[in-house]
Amino acid sequence: MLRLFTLKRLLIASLALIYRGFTLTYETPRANADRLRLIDLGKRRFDHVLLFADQAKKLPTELNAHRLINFVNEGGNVLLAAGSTLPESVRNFATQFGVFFEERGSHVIDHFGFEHTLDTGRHTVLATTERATKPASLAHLFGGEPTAAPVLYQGIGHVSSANPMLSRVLSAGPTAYSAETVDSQVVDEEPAATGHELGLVSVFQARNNARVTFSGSRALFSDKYFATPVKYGADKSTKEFPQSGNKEFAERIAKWTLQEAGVLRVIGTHHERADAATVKRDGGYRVKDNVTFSIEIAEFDGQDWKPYNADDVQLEVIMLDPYVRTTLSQEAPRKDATSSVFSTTFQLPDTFGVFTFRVRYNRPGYSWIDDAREVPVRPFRHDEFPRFLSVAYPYYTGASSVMVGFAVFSFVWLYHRDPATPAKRK
Amino acid sequence: MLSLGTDDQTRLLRVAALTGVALVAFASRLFSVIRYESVIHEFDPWFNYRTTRYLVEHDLDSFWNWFDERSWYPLGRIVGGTLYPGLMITASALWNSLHALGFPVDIRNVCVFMAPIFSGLCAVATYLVTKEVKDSRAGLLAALFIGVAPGYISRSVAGSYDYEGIAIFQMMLTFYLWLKAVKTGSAFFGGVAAIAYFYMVSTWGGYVFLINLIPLHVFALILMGRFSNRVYVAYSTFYAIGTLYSMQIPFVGFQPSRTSEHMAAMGIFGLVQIIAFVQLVRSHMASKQFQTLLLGSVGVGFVLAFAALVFLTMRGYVAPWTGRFYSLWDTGYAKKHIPIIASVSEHQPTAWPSIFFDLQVLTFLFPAGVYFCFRKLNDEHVFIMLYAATASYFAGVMIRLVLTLTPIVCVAAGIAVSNILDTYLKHSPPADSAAEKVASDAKSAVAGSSSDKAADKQPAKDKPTGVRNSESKLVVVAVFAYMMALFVWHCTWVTSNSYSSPSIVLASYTPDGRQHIIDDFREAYFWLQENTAEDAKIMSWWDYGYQIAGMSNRTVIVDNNTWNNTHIATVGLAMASPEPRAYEVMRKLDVDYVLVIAGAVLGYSGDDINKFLWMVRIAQGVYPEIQETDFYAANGQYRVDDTASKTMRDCLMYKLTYYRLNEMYPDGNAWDRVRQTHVPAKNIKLSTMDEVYTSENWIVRIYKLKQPDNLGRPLTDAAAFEENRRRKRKHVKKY
Repeated sequence: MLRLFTLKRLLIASLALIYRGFTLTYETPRANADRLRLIDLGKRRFDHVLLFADQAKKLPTELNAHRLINFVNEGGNVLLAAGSTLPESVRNFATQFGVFFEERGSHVIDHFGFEHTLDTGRHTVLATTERATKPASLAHLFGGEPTAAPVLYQGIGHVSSANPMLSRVLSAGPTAYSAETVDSQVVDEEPAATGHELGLVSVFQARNNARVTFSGSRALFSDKYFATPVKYGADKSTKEFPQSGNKEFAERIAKWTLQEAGVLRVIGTHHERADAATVKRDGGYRVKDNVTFSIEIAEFDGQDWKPYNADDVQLEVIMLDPYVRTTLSQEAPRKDATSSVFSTTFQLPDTFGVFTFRVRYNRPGYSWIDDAREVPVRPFRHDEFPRFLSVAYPYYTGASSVMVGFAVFSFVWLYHRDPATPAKRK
Repeated sequence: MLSLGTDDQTRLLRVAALTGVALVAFASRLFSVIRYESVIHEFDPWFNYRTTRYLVEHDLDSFWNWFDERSWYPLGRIVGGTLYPGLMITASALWNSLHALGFPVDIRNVCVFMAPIFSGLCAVATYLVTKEVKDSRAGLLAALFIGVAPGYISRSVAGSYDYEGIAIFQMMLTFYLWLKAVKTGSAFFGGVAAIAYFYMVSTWGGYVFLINLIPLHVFALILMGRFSNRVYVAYSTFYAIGTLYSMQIPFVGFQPSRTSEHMAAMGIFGLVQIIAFVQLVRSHMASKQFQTLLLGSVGVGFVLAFAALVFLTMRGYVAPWTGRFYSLWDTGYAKKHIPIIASVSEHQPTAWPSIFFDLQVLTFLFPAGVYFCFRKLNDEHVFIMLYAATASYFAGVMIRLVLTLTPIVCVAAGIAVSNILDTYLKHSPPADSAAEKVASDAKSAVAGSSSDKAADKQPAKDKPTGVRNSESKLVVVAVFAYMMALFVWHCTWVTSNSYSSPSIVLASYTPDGRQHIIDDFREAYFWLQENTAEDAKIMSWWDYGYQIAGMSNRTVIVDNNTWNNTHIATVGLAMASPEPRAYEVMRKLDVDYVLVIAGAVLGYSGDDINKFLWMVRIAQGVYPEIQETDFYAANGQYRVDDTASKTMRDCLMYKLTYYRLNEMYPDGNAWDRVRQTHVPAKNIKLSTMDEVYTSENWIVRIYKLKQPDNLGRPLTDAAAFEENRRRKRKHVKKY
């Protein structure tokens, strides 16, 4: 059973988690340390952590950056919703993922893209449509329709590192910037980050496929934002929507973070000589053999495992460097199949050694697939070379004629006797 | 014995003496087994042992085609085609026959005792050679010398299961048969010599010496005008059959027709045919015209053949001399061009003391023996002289080639001593009694007794004067008997003290004289076997590759079969680079564990830091990012203490060697007992590896490579975070 842990008693119900079969445990920072422990006796107590840490000054030791990272390293998922006054330990935690939250007390401000009804005049309630559009995998998982309602956001922004495991799924609009808003002060400094540089929501998938979502706004997940109609834009070009896109967006994020979307799994790989059925030979590959390789991949849609459809799964045959890199083609799915099979037939290079058949399928948003098999490839055995070469026939003829000649000569030499014919001498 | 005639008694004594010599040769090589245990020594023997085990467990066919994917990962090695299988086949044949006879002997013991057994046989072969050259008296002496000479024992103690252990026997056997063939002019002996040569080729790469020496012998005979039908028959048979046979060994393949090393033999073969043909022509022509024809045809033929060889070499049909051969002519060549050859200690030029150490009194008897060969010149003596001259040169160039010098030294010394004894021990005509005495002298020398009673037993009839009287004879004989006794004593001492250490087990003595065995290597290799995954890849410097494969049964990146310089340089690159770069290199090689040898605690001088400059040089040859000069301290010295250069202190090898060493000592007093110097007190931080094992005396240290960080951070950053340091804000992605 999946267990879920949240820090603050908040509007989880709207994410319909219980309905989806999770067991929820709510805790506050002041709870007993035993109850906050994420890992007990080397084992995760929870599968997922929803950490709504926008107000607490300080989080208990049980939830400091090290513990949380250990939790992620053990395969746990974290959905982090912060705010402009996020605790220092959460900032440290995010930093390790390449997510750098802006200064404490700052907000993302957009004078041209704020939401009119909820905003208090500081223009910190943004309505943004800058959802992930590329690569295609991210757009598929997080991008909305082109006409989808904007997502409302109020909180802190972040910039992110070039780590390929980190993906931006919601950015600020081109006119947004980040600045401190503590005493409604005048912004007289160059803003730390502006425009698209500013991230609002980023997702991270670790090497062990644990997922972490960073959101600088807790309000994004609130009922209030879910239900509100949206009116945004500068004076002349305002746009209106009956309902914000928050619900749809938050659900996508939650599903992804809780491993209900974009989850891939390798059922198995198989490789054999292409002519294994007809030609019997001892095990193992020989140089220049034709090899059929197939990999079976399934995708989880939140309920069932289903075939995963793609045309870009590639196989590498590596020995120090890739010798073969080829695209696998998807086989026609069987009826009621729960997975899809990608396969190809290729020729091994004319080099012996230990090759690695490796499928690395890294599409942001989807589980990383890295499946490697070591396969020794041997050279020809001494009796596998062609025995008689047509070009060598002159030599065969030469050798055998010498042998025959020698035998004949010996015979003649041994058994021939000159008849004594002195008459012939003259 | 009473019923036997004098001849039979002599023969019996001779056989008894020879058997005694063979037994002594066998027994004096057993020090290591008695002192330690029946274990395979050093490095290369572990590979031979491993392959022999494979051969015994599988069959010859799969051995022949064995592709070993566990060495030289990921390149693999075609073992069957890149080794000389003679040793393994001999051992497994011995093992099989013992099992057929009902002796359930372990293959390890067969391997351990192979070299001593063949040393006994080598003594017999040397006896035969010397007998061909002089007589059986000299033969017995030579057999005794080769039986105990340290120059040969160094490569053939029990446990030293290596090619050389049996190849010297094969070489002497081939020489014997060759001399026999030249002497008799019989095609039969030429053929048998070719078979012995084939056996030698199947065992040791040193056969190249043989296939150059024999043509040289023939060539010298031609130049000396000693060419005869005997030589023609012997050489033609030997070369034709021997070459065809040798080409059956996969590792040799077409080399006899395609490499410069073998061209001399082929050229002489052609020359011999021409000369034989010319002689045939001579028998049908007037002698005046013949002279011109001879000179003309031989000269033109020689020039043409040489030009053809040069042309073929330039076109690449014939491979030029290999680097190893150049280094025989120019001792500085390897150091400049092929550091991997120069890095091996046994490829260094020989120092005088080591020649004396290996041969002792034989060093001085050797020229005397060669001189005696000059005195009475015949075909065999020419051979001995040539062998002596070439082997002396090679032994001076490379330490390991003292091994090929030793047999001829023994033969020559046998001739010299027997000449002296013939002169000073002989009284009256019955020559056999002298032989008897030689035999008894040999035996008494074995027993270590310096007395020689035989000399003064027979009273002389008429008293000669001067050096001919029996007193002066007695003095000379006594001096020689004493020298021989001293020689045997020296040999035994050298064998026991220098050449009987298995080198995988070290011995030291506690102050109260008890022996303390240091068994770190086996301890660590066993740890690897028990605690690492079956397919784990171990990276170490190539010296330890065979041992890891043999004892731990794990995949290694490089090993002692140094066939791929680039791959070794890659390992050198990893060892000489700072951690992040090294990590990158090791990930590419799929390394799981790194094993280093660190002698700092115990004072074990054969450790990796002492070999490190060679790693740097080899790496530098392929990867210019490594520069040897960077590893020297500011004053140009190779240091490991606080004055060591930054490159040195950052490189992986340094870190792995000294990691946590300072924790063993009081603050600031970490001490390296090999380099006799302080080690920096600052803690060494490793971020890409974990120390997983360090042996009892810190000789072997094993580190496990960390997986790449789960969060994609550089491992140094991850380690810094573990230590609570803030990560610097960098690599900001711009949108």
